Amino acid sequence: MNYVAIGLFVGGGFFLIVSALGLLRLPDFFTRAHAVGKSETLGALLVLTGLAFHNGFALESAKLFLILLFVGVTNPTAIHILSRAALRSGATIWTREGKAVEGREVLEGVPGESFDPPRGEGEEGGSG
Amino acid sequence: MSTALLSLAILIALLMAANFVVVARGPTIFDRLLGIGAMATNAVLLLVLIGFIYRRPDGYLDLAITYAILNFIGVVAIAKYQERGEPEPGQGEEP
Repeated sequence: MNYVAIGLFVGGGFFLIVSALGLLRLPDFFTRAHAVGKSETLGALLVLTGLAFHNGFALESAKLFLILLFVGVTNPTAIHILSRAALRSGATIWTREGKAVEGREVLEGVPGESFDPPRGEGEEGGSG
Repeated sequence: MSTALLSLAILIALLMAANFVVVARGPTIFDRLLGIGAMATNAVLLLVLIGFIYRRPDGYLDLAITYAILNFIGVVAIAKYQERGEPEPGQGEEP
């Protein structure tokens, strides 16, 4: 059982290192969000599972499972909300050709998105 | 076994320092917020590991649950606030 825990620790540490490197090195907000949103979540889940294996069958393992469930649900959700806020606020998107694309251009024809010039005269929240 | 836990805790502390570099230098506020979120996830893991290293996991696990909830609420609140906040200079001018 200890070997299983150590193997999970090694895998989790690897994914956490990958996440930190991606956050440091990638060229764009959205690529950095990609690095954090997936690698960080997987690394955290692996480390918490390894701790549950290390601990054995006890109350602490139930609490660890709770933390695991919570982190696994909320971390990608938070990154998703953050990326959507950045896209709506006009963050630039990196492309391979070196030509930066603005987030507003991507959202040009999307129906629910209303920050092409505000139509109503008295409407609240017309496009920050 | 405690050596494995200790080395993993030291690794996670170093990764938190690496994430803080992004928080300090990020070009936009969203980059800083992303770094804060990554740091907070690492902090949850570090709290759990410290609890198991000191052989007193009860209180530290409760602290970790609380910190995970606070992290989620904080990041979502600041993201929503910044989404409706000031437009970038020269882009979102009202006609």
